[in-house]
Amino acid sequence: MTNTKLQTQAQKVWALNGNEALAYGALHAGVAYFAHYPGSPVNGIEPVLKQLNTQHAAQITFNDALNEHVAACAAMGASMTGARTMLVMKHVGLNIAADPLNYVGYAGIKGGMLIVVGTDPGANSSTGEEDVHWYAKQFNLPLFEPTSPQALYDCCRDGFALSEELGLPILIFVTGLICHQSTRVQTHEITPVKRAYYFEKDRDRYINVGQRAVQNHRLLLEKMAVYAQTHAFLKVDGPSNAPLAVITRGNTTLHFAEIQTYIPQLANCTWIQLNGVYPLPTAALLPLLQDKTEIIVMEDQDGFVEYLLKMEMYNVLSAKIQGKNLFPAYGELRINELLEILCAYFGVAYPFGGLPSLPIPERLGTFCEGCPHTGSYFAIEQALPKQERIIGGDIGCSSLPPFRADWLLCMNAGIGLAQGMAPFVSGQKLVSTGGDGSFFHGGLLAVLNAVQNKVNLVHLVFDNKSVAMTGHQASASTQVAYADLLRSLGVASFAEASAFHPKELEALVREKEQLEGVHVIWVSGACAQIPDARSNFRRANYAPQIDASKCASCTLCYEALACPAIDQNDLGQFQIDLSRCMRCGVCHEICPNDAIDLGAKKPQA
Amino acid sequence: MKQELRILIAGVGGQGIHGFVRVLQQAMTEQGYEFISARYKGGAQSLGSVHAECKIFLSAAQANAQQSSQLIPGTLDILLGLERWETLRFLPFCHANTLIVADTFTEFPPGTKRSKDLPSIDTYFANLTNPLISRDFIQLAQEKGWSKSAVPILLFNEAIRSLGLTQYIQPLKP
Repeated sequence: MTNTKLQTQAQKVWALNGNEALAYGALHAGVAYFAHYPGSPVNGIEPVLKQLNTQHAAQITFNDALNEHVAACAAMGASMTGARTMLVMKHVGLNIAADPLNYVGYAGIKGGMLIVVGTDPGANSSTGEEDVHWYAKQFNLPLFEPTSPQALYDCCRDGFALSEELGLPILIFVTGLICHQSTRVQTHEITPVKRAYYFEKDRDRYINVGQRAVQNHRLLLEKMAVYAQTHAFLKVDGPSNAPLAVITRGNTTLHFAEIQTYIPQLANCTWIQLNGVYPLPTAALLPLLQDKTEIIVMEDQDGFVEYLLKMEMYNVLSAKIQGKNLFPAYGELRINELLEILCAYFGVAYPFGGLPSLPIPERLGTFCEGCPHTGSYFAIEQALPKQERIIGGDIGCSSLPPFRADWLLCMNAGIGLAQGMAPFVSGQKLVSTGGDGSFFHGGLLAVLNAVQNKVNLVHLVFDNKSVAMTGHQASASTQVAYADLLRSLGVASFAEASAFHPKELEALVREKEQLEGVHVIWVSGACAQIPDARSNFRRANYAPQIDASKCASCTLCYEALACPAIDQNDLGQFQIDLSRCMRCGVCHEICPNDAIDLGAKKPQA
Repeated sequence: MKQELRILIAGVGGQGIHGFVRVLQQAMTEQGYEFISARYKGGAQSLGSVHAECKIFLSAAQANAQQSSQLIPGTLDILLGLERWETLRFLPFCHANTLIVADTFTEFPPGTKRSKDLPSIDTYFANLTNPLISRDFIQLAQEKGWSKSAVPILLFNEAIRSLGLTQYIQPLKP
């Protein structure tokens, strides 16, 4: 099989965000294989690259993987044949992919391989934040942190070339801020190159067992030690002989130029912008830092660069090194936060004062109008008494409203933690939940594990027919005979229910909760953002309303169901906002006073 | 003339803020101005807080300097509010003379119990001392036969007209 890289005209592409720049960069650098598991903030790369692939007949092979471990292995395999490969996941996904990626440096690769990881300090587009920089050291792979869409675009071209030069994948970390930041991007002309794809057997490299793994580990350490001395990707601004140096990476590089203009002591410092963050380019840094009296490392999260600097240049530098003693290790570190900290440190008055904030209620997460999870959670809560119930929550749209589940940690923590609890909470009513995305990501194994370990548990799979939270990627549930699959695992019972008929689901939860063994309830209901035929019919033909004369203000629809399309008017009456209502009919079904009329124009479908 | 224009657009999920930022960037680029923006989305849900922070560089010197895409509170020139509670949420980004252009659309955070101590939204707006343009832009768009996606464009055009910037920046076409 051969692939001809695209020949593109030198052109300006206006207004690309970070995700789009990576997609264009990959295309123009001749990527042949793209593997990913969708996750914000990097979920925007795949749809753009697919569109470009079609538009340019680029013949890129896509692997929409069910989890990051599979995606990582597949990407490594493609690269071993000589294909240029991009692997994409979010920060938490790197934990899942870490197993194979621990060995990719031992085995090495052939076709250039870029591992793009979306980080999210401040959890602006993720369920949480965590610092994955430490994986760069653990995998011992070069790490880059481009700070603009242009830099991301360029990093694809340069990264693939460097990856092939080293025979190692290149890590590219990109924050949510930079993923969603738009600027103008200049693209480059690409010369077509023909590649022959072939897997060349090399047991010494690829079979990493026992002493061979140890030998390859040694070779990787040696290679990276040389790399650290010979490669430096950094930019230096300001006088090199200033007593103060400031080192930035990622978002802080983006902010520092502006911060400098407000603090005189920083105006003439030596500013080192680390683009290649790992390994620390000690040979290039030594002449820049050896005569400094003070070094400030400005970075978000744990202080990875500060740690490396203190470890690797211990007893070499005489300067006072500051970092996490000044800047928090949590949160996004917005420009104003950095400015405030540095103003205080240098004794400069903070130059701005905004209007005072008002006590505006936070917009906590909610289910969308017409979301199938609304009825599902209502059913569980009605079936199990509040004081006794335990609900294991999982990552995904079903976790959006806080405090509905009792814990939210990571993919499949719902069923994972629940099966550990089950033997000890017989006096409580325990159920676990998870979406269809989570189920196929790893939940399937967790169900089998519960069966094999004879756990008593009711597990609900919320199947909205798509991986809704990250861009509505197709769900495996539309292609897999999941009922047969689960029965073959040996579950004590398998039942199906509609999320839009919570009364039936409530009865099922009550029934199964009494039984021993693993009971799976598969709760189906199309995502409100991707309506199916039933939903479309109802939207066209129904106009539900609340009859104030029948409404007893029990608040079941308003508070317990918590549909955002139901609000309270100035008279205290509950009403349905038809501009928001998706006509799912759940409020009509649960109303104990028959006060909600569906307003059907035609007979019910 | 100002060196750069700092604009924050606030609203809730589903109002088209991200789409508007793309339109604005395209238009400013075509008019010869550099533009940078940072966008914050409220998770994959409707009615979550969404906002975007934008800088339009009106001078070449500013455009060529390395810039953060984030805005520092207290430095905003224009606050465009597509929903009134969200407009108020971003007041700390304003200084006393920041122009606020707000649609009258109001959506109290769903699932949130309203505190009895919380003043009404009308009271809050009545107490604002900033230059303020508040009107029903959704109705205005409907009267013109435009969809709701035209609303942020109408707010932006109102802002640049009010600040006398139309000699530098051409209004956007809905």
